[in-house]
Amino acid sequence: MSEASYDVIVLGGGAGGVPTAIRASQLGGRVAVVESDQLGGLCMNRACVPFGHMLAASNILGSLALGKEMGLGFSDVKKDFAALMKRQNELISFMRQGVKSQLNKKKVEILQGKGKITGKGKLEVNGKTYAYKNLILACGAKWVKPDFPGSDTEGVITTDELLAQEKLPKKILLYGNSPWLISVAQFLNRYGSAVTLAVQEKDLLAAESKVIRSRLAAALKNQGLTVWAGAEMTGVKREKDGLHCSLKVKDRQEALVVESVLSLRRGAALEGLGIESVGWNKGGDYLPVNNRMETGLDGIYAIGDVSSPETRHYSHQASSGGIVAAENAMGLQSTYDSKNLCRVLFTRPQVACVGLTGKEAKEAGYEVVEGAAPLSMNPLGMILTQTEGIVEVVADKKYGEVLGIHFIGKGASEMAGVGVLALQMEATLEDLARASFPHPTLNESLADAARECLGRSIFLP
Amino acid sequence: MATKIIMPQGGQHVEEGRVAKWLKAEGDTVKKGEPVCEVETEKVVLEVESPADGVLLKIVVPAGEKVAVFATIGIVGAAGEQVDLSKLGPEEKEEKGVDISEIRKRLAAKEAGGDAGVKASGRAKKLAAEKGVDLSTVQGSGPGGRIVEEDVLRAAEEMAKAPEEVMVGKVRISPVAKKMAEDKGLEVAAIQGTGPMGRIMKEDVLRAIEEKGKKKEPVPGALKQVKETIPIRGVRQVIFDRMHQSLQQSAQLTLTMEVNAAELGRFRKILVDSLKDRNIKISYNAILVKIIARALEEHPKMNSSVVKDEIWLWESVNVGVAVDAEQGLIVPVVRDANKKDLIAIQKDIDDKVERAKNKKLVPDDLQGGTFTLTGLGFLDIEAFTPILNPPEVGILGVGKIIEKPVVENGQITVGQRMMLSLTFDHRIIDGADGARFLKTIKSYIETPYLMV
Repeated sequence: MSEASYDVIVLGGGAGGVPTAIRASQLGGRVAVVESDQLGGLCMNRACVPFGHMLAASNILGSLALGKEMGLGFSDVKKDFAALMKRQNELISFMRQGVKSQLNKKKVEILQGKGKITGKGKLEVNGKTYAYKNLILACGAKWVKPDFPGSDTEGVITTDELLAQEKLPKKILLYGNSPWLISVAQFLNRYGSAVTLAVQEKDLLAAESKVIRSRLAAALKNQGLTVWAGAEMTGVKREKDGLHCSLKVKDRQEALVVESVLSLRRGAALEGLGIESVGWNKGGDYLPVNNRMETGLDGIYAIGDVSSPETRHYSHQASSGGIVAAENAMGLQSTYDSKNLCRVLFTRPQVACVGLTGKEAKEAGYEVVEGAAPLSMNPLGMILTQTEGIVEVVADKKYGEVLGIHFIGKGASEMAGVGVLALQMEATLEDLARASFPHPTLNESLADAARECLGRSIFLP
Repeated sequence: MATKIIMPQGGQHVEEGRVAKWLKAEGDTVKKGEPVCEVETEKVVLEVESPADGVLLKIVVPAGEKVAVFATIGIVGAAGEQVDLSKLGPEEKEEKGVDISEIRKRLAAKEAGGDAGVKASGRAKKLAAEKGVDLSTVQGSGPGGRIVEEDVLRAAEEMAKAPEEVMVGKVRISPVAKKMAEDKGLEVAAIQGTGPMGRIMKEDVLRAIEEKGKKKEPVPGALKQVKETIPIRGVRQVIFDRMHQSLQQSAQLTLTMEVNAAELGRFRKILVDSLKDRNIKISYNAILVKIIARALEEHPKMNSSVVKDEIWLWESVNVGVAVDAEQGLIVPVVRDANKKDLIAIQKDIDDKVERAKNKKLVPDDLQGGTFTLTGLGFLDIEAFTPILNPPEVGILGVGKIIEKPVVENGQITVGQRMMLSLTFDHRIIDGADGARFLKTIKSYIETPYLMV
């Protein structure tokens, strides 16, 4: 028997589910969020927020070198990981409370427990059945066991275990294909771990532009990180002195002994969802959706990680898509354009790319013009010694349509917001070239990169 | 209960309509929504539907008669019902008309910070809050102008439609979409935007381009089938625009005159023969350019343009020669034709035609003409009506030289005759002036040696 019926039930109270539920409620729906673990999901509890916090600390450490150049003196720089974790956990707990009160205030009901679809329009949570008109799946992704021999050996961990540790491993191997491994590697390196980063791709961030890739690789090298690209783990074995790892790196063999092996492999959380009960039989690693976030199943939408391949697991995709799903569920006509998804990495220097690379644009048949402005030519860039940074603009010659904007450097993640807006609003090179960015800011380089596309850069030699 | 059938308005500003035909006779059974008659206004022909189920009791306005819009043209009611027209109440004037004075009063009160004095039902208030409708702008239809739920719903619906109306003259469109629409010559106001707030995005323009292309496809059941569609581009586009612009912007008059071309032929032969060694072949076109240049010096108004409200007489005499080239009609210009001798003119024309063939003409070769010479004699055309090449005010068309009997001094002889067709802008050149110009041309053609 139905306990209650809802216009919209959102399955999952994470980065995607929360804004989704709030939007549906704003539109006058009776809405519930089902969460089996903690509100805030992976993003707030175990990824974006904690790592954002840790990287903020790490960046302060990184800034000390610049501070010294500027005449600031530091003696006895402590790196108290336990203190960092204490502040972090308090922060997350505070934010989680905030989410809960937001949901309450916006009249979204919270159903604690694991949700399972039991038939058309029916969802079971803790043995009770709830009726829904629309179901929005926002249940995210789960850890997937890495696929190398010995991957179940003790000491092969994910970031969940890393965050739960009180002390950081002295020696660690980061292995996999997730771009997030890079920022974790940098953090650990800065906090004193000996880090080896082994990525399966033939190149770090193989899909990004050559300029971005080479500048990031050079920065990592300067920071003393060992990076092996094109690596394949052939075995992990526990011995007395630690984990013995053997890898094939391109044509050579590598072996090393570490305390932990960190791997970040994730796949859509489809198991136990009961989606077969409403006719899903397509299999696959995730639930594909259209630009209205519809799954093709009657009244069922999917957003965020559950609806995307691992390379597109971004919280901002989940929340933007969620709002669209909520609007469609409530009868509006709304679409989400995933081509403007910002691919951001909180590395040092940060990388944030939106839209096409020059290569992709050429393949798509555009007549491509490209312009770039290094931050070393930018006044604030010079103040901050931003030798690593650059802004690249890719555009179509015919209409001046801006097709891609790539940033590497300090503040790239913030500057990329302008890029997202430019692409979303279909800005032309003229629009960017004439944007009067405040001075002195790094974003002035974006205007100059656009001007370079037009053959009239002001600040480039 | 009897219900009136009303003459519909059928278009803005329409004041009266005519009943064209009754589809039902008095006494016929009618269903609500079933067409009962056809009416015509000055703008449209409409079918009028029965407002209710029942019987067409009375035809008030017979077919063929005109009445004011909203007047009663017939009555529908129960069979056998007696109808007294006078008791049906006065004619309703604009039934959809809205008295906005009440709304104005309320808005004024609201702006002044006072109570807007809105009377609304509880449900209407709740609904207005949900839909974000400002009650002070809503016209109430309940007792005493009280706003009821239905009024709020209607207002909300209109609010949803509002952006289109508000955006007249200012269309929301992305920069890329705008450039693309301009490039493709699309009317942006006609494009349906799907972005936020109905913003027209690139996708929308692409869709509009596609639909525009589709419209050319044969319509099933249409009387004409399309074989092929040819885009109007490049040279054709230029000619297309110029010719249309020409007829729109001037008053064109064509005069024709037959001339004796025998001497012209002889004159040309002498030149051709004597220049054989120098590899130059003087054409009729070159001689005619020289003749025109000379005539233009004598008739400066024919060598002019209209610039705003002034006639500008040109110092330069630049004669364009229309040539049927591979890529379409081109008109290379012989600059300062009045100052050049025949050989120079011929060389100039040869050079430009040659470069036209090799697609090496530069814009300057085709611009700056002050008069045009065109001929279709090579295609056996005798006379025609040339169209001005704006901003020029004169164009001379020459026909084929025809051998035909002519009467000279009372004798029939074999003549070499040619028709001249002069088109000029009648706004600034009178017919007699045009004729005088033609006479000058004629005198040079018939006695080319006068040019020397």
